[in-house]
Amino acid sequence: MRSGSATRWLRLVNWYLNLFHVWAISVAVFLAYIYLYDRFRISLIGGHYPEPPGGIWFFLITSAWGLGEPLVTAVHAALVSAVLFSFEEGEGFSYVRHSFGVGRAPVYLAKIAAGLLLVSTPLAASKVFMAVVWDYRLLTRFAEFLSASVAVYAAAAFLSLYLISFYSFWALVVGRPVYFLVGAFLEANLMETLFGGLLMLIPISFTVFQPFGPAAAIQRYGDRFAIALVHACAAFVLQLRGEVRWK
Amino acid sequence: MRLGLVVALALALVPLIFIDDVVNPNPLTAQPLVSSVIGNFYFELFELKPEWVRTVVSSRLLLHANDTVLIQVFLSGCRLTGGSYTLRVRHVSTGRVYEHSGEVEGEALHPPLFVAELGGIHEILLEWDLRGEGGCEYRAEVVASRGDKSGYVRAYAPAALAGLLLTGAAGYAVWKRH
Repeated sequence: MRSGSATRWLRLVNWYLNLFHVWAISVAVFLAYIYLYDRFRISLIGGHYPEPPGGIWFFLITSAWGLGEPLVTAVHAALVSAVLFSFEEGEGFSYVRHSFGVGRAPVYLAKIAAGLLLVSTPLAASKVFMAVVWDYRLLTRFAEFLSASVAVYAAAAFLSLYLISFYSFWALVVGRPVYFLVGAFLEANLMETLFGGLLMLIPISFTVFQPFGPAAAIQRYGDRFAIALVHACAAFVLQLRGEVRWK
Repeated sequence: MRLGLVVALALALVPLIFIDDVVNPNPLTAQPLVSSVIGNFYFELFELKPEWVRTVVSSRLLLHANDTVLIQVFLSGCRLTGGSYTLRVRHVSTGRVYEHSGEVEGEALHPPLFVAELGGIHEILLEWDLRGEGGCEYRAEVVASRGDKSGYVRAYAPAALAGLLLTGAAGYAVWKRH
């Protein structure tokens, strides 16, 4: 039975509101990041050139970085991927698929986009928030502030995509206990754990939040991004073939 | 399943606590290291020329109100007959400039301690003009220290109290409803 357009939209809104706890966790993670960044941190910005590379706003925003931050990002990405790919909430996307008559590929892309939005938004927002708290008078250079914020958001999205590529695959393939014990605990995934776990994520996170971040990170850690790409492709194929068991 | 999630999260918190202690050390248990050497040790040999202005230290620091910066420069290996230096600190977002000029005493420069009036990015520039002969080696040391932050505690205390009361009331309301 086909229902009216308004009813479909209302159901969609209802399903979206049912994801409230996922959004609430994102707010909590935002607060966790704020706690990790030292409010009274003294940072050195390199001299000898007229402006630091990437502009002074970019440097101020990326001064908000901590050793604990990649771990929080990894745990958050693991949770969000589990909710989107192996919990019943993720089935809501299948409902959207039936409701709007789209294929499996757009649904997969919508899940990835939702994951990116959920994981990278608190990460980038907390950095921008700390930068504004540190030097709000610099907001007079508003255009530079906006461009630096967009650059940092893009870097955070790149890092989230790297993590979600791994987690989406393992959330689809293994059962939930294995996923949470191996994934959330040992930070990234089976592959990364073999290479050293969290110690591998910290340098990637550090490189990504630099003026030429994503490009430099791909150049330096190309093998790991290739492994992430393989994971993402495998998850995509699994979704396309519809061989997903709800665990 | 839920238990696995809770156990995983609880155990993930353990390394987080240790890492957090490294990042934000507890002042009661941390080593009594009050200031941090922000860096800049330069070792360089150069020949003295007449009327030669040279930049010794040039860097940008993110400081907060009451933070201090102490710069010390030590020279060795040359015969100095005199010299002067200028320390200029510019608060980038307001354009305020703090400046101090002095004479070189003996074989060292001791500019006064800079206390940050406002929080934000500061550009620090130290230039000198030395007179004498011979080859000089110098070492510049920049030490930035955290100033007294008790003013922030007093400023934020009412807001923190109001937040605690509101959160407590909301938690009580949720608890009563269930």
